[in-house]
Amino acid sequence: MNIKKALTRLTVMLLVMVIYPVTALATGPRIKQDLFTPNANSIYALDFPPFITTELNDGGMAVELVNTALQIEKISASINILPLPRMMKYYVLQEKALALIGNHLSFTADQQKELIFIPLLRLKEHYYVYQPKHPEGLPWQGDLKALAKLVYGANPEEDVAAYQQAGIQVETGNTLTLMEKLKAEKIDFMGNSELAVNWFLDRNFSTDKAKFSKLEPGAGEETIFIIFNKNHPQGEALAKQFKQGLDAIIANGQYKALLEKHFGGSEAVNRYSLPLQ
Amino acid sequence: MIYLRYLLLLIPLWTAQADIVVLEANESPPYWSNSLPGGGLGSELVQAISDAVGLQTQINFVPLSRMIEDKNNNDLGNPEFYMAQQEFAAIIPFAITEAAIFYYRPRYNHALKLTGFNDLKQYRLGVLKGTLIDRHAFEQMGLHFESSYAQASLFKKLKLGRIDLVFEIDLVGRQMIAQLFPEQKDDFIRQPLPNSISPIAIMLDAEYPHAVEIAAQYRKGLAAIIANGRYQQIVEKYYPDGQLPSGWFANLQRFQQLYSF
Repeated sequence: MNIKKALTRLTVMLLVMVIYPVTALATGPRIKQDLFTPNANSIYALDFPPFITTELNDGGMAVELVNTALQIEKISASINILPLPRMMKYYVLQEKALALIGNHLSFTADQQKELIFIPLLRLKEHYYVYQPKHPEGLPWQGDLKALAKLVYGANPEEDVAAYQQAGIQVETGNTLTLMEKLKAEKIDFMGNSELAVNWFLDRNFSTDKAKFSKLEPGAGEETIFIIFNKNHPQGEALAKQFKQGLDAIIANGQYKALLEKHFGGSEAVNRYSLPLQ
Repeated sequence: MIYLRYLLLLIPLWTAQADIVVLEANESPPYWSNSLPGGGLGSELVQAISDAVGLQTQINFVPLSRMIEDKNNNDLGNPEFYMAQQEFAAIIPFAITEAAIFYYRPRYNHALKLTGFNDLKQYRLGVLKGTLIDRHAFEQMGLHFESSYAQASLFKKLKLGRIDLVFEIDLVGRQMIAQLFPEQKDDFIRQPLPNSISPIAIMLDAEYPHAVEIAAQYRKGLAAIIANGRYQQIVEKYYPDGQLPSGWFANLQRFQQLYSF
């Protein structure tokens, strides 16, 4: 067998190893904690890898933080990860779910009155461009007006008022779609946490990874919240209890330890996130 | 000539009858299968929905990995598996699936009482690789799972006593047992899990031409076959003798609300 054939076979074998678990996953039942009976305290989390994802055993950093705070307060709740903000809204507004976990979730003023927002994680954000389209980057120095007439890729429920006021066009999509649009040169720039972008660069753009450039200075921050529902029979009481649990894990060092575990050390924590308090 | 122009303007830009809508499914009997008459439960329903509104639908069977990787196709299946990778213009749930626990009755001298995860601690639990969503929580509960890559392998292990219980989609499990052990199929006991219900849907890609109009047609067709009894006839072929999971239509309605965009 020549080297080319051997390499082809090896590639096929590796592909099969990577793809097969996905194949199995999509044809079997999803085995979750609430398989027997619905947990009265359902929490829905918006897919946002690596912070919220079914691809990690612990559900990602934000999910593990929530579970740790819940355990300390002995609150029984099940966390389900969903792909779309509008599904999250359905569960909280129509089915009176206990809480949501996520970022970029917009609610009307009236809806907000029925919700209790507790910040979980503050992440630093950066803008990204695709080098073949913008070899010199963008004239970004912290003022959006310098990017007028360009096209910005926003998450579906992101507040884009500042971009529109600066004369920037906006297209929406989830993070993966936006990165594809960036590569296809349909948008000029997008913003996100460096870790979220790196997650998809490693998995979906490994051959073009170097062509995605991060712009400095930073683009600001985004916060992942847990949002309790006052319309759930125990929503307000459990929000208070959860906040006590969160404060406790911050005070006893568990919060910091979890961040360091997921980010990869204290330097990385400072690089990717901002202090919660 | 001017009349011809006006006439052309009166023809709708898109007509349901004019185009064939191509949807993709992967071989997973008894829901989707080239070898089953009518193509399986899902295929029969999709074709009946299409017929009701004069829509031409073609179902192509492709490997699942290709379905998931292709971000511009129209998919058939559980939306939760596809939505993280692809954006859709419309998702139309038209059926549901329910999971069940299966065990091999001759191995026990009494029927098993399985009402919660605590009851499962003493058993070796067989699952399909990749289906454990809350692995961390299950490990903390002290549950012992064994994964297999194939459904057939799970049920063979169950019969041999290498695992005690199998988690599987109810209809798939029943089909698998009937295929593998036709003589002993009544020795396998199944306990449905009512909180495991998931939708089966038609998913139209965000960029698919006229996706919104096509989705409206599919929804109309679905309502029509439910109203005229055709839907019931098809599902009862697969769930005979009153075995249709309770709350089927209420759950279907709930999923339709969840995906109403």
